[in-house]
Amino acid sequence: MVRHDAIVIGAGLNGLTAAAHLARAGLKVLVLDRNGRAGGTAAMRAVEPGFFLPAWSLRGALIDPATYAGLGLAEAGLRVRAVDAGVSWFGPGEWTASFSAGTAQRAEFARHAHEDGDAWRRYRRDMLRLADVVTPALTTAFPQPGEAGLSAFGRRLGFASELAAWPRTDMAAKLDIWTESISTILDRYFTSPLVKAHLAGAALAGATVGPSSPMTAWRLLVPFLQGGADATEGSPRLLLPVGGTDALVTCLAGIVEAAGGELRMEAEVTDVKLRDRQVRGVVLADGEEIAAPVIISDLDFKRTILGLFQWKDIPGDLVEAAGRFRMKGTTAKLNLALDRQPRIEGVPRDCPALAGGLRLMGSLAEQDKAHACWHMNVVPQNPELSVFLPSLVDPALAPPGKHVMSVLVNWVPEAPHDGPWTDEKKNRLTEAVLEKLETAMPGLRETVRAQEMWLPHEIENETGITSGDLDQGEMTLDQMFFNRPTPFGAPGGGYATPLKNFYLCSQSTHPGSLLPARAGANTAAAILASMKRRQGA
Amino acid sequence: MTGDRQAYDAIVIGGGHNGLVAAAYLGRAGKRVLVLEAGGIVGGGALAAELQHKYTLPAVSHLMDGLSASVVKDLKLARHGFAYAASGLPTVALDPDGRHLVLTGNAKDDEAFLSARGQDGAKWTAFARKLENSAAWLSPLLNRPPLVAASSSARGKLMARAVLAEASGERAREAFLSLAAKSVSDWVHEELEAPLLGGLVAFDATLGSTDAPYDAGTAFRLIYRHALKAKSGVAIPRGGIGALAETLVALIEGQRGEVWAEARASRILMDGTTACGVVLDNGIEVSAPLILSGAAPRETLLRLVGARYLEADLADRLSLGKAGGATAKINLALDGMPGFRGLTPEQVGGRIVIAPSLDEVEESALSARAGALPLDPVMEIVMPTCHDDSLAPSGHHIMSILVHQVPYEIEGGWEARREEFVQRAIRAVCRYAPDATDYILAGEVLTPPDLETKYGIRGGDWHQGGLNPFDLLGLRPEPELAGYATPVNGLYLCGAGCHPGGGVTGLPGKFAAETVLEAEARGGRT
Repeated sequence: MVRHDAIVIGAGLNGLTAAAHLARAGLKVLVLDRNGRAGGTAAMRAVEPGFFLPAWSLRGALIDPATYAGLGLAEAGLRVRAVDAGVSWFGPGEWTASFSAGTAQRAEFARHAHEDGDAWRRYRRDMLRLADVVTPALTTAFPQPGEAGLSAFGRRLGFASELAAWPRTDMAAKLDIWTESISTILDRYFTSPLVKAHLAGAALAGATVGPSSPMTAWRLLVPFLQGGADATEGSPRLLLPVGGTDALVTCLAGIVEAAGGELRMEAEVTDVKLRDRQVRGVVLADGEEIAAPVIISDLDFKRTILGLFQWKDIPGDLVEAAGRFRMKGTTAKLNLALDRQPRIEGVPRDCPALAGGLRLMGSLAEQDKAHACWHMNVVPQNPELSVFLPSLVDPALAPPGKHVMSVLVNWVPEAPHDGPWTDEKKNRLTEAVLEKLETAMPGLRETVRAQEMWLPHEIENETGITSGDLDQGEMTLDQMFFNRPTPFGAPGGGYATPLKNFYLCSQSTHPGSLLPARAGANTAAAILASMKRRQGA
Repeated sequence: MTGDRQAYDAIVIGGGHNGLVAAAYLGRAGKRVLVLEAGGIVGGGALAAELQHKYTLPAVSHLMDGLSASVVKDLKLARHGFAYAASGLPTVALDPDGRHLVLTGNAKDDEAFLSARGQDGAKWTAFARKLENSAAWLSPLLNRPPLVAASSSARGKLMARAVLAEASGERAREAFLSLAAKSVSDWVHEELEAPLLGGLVAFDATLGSTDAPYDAGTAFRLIYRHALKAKSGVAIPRGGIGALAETLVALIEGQRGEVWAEARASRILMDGTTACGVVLDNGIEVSAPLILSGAAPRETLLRLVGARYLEADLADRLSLGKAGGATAKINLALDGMPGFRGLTPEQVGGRIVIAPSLDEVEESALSARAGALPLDPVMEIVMPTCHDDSLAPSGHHIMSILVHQVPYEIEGGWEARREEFVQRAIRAVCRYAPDATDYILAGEVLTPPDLETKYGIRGGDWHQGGLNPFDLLGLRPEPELAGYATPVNGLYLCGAGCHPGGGVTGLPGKFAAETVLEAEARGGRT
């Protein structure tokens, strides 16, 4: 029998990233996944033979170079393309875009309001500075507030001392980003309603908050957390793997296998075996038992705790915490196969920002209204859409001349207020989405050769993610940092659980969706550090 | 026309309770203070108004639950005649089906009461304990001047405060940190089932702001409110809510100070970069080496001083601040006691809340945001005449209603919608006290814009700006202004816009006066 040093449950990007880091450190890792295709929420799918696109997410895998540093992805054959971050279309002749070239970006914003060109320069400078403050806290486990003892106290005192050393205006800027709303911060810089709606829309895809909701401004930082420092003075670019999520998965799996590890698909874990609150191994759906000293779950926090254990065997407050952890469905997904590249009304065909996608959203007020409707479980009649054409970045994803279109439908309630989803309601929503697409891309509907729509509960059924929540837990401040997924009150930063040798690595842990796959890398680091301590002791 | 120059040691702009408290502290230190109040009566958010010369109404706020014990003690308010007509008032959450909840604030009693009705007894106790724990962590920070003072010893002070907060224990810290950024809706969903309790908690967490219960940070507001709660609990002063202001005025006048009503400041006089006096809108000039302003920071610095005396950056931030208020006030004079179904007379004298469920509070917040009137407004009702019959003719009563989640800008305009609003609010009251309309003799309605024009409460926001956890670090209202001093020499802020914020605590006024006196003592030494 093969001996495994660690089992990773779930071959999502976090699970694979954790597995690759552990494998590189010399551990024999086994990755198990119930689905036929790896990638978790970022997994790809053929909407029709030959037409590949991210099945449930907008863009699939994004690359954060720091997360994969040391794994040698480039040597393993991964190619990455950096693209400009997208266009927002509000109506014929009313659009704006994010360009990576500084002069282009300033000119674009100045086209809508003269002063917004300069405002971009200040905005970018401030966001980068704030991102610099935040990034170190994202790339490692976050200290837990409940930790008692002298050393924890010392750390907190140190933090207080550091805080006191900041000049007050500086402190205000650094803290405002965590307390203010997106609208408030954008109002401080920009004049044009179009520019504000563009930046807010980009920050809010898949969110559970509106632009005026308090404590949301940090979302504006997200693009600057990775790749934002490129010298071009424009908008941070998106780093996409050529070949999509599948290409990244192949590379990571290759690293695991090269180190003697193994990936098994269609192997569903139904139970984690415990003895004295210490994990021993897993049980598969077909009854097979596999033992390992360390077990890591890439399933969301709720599914992990509530689905993999007998509740009576684990601490009651852990069950309670998982029950309370908020996961909410916010997006539906429309996948299209197209006969030709769509033309966007008024936007030049060669606009470089189109590679990053297209947003069909309303003004800040309309975005707030859409959020309010979602909150009351009303199915949107004029849906806010995020659109991405994977075949523009990588033509190999569709047959020559043909295209695939990935449409994230925002603000879709999991359970409509007027009763459960029916085929009729689903069709009505699909029709509303296609109509909206048609207004921006006249003639698009004629070119659709295949389509499929996924509602939040259908995404849950397919992926296993509770409520079809692509963030794997609402990204609000009370579920971030030491509160993600819950303050365990012990070292381990939310990766180590109260169950000995059982770890969490999904997006339900810090830093969630702030940095792609970072939770996986952080978990691997936490595990290796704890092993080192034990060896040292 | 010019007043007697240098006749006053200090001028306080605004006769709200914080301005008066600041004046009284300065007077206590031997200063001759002039208080300028724009309106006819002093009191600010806590003033008394009269209706038909027979009824003494609580013009805006109608209860006190956080007047700082230190202010009461320092200023010897009791010796000057200030007393509560009633304290420790119960909170009554009205139920449409008559199964009202009466909460006294005593954990044991409340649990027993709720359990007997099958309404979350144990859950409520656990919820209240968590609130208590979090408030315990916060309280020492609120009851002191802002964390980061303008002095060079800021670092030492912050460290000392960190040690203090540490002493409250990891449970309190963890409770606070896990709740600080939460929305009150999420908190309620996690801990409570009884709809009335959810409605009450959501109401209390959002009253006085435009926040909806599902907005992040609203749990913090509840903790904050709790942390400032005085031992006397919810109370009504003898002689009405205006009694505090009246006591303070008498006190100030006894200290050779003066309080001028109908004296609206139109400009702060500058001598170079130093404030040296105030010009009233009738042209009168008064001068003093010290000016304190209880008006909102934006009002003080942009309107009274002028942006040209400020750093452009600060002026920008002040001008961008959104006014946010979503509360209206209805005062009714009644010629009898309406019959609230299912309430004892003693309970009618409590704090009555109509907020049947969390969903209803959320729905009214959503409609207020859309500029619409809520169908079933949520509200807080107080009948001060239950405790003090000097406020109205014998046998008559006053009903004071704070209607929450009322839009500042309403579709169709307030002039056209005012009557409809009043009808809806009174209909909501009649659902529980069907004969209330039979007794109405007269009434007064103050929409959020009315609160602004009549009492100078911008946007109807009597907290003078929102509140968030980081404000405690000495960033309220803006980092440059957090220590009560302003970039203008001789000008200080003393209103609810400063630490520790809104509510009738008297603390901003007290801390501002102390800051002034400390600065002077330091200046005297060097």
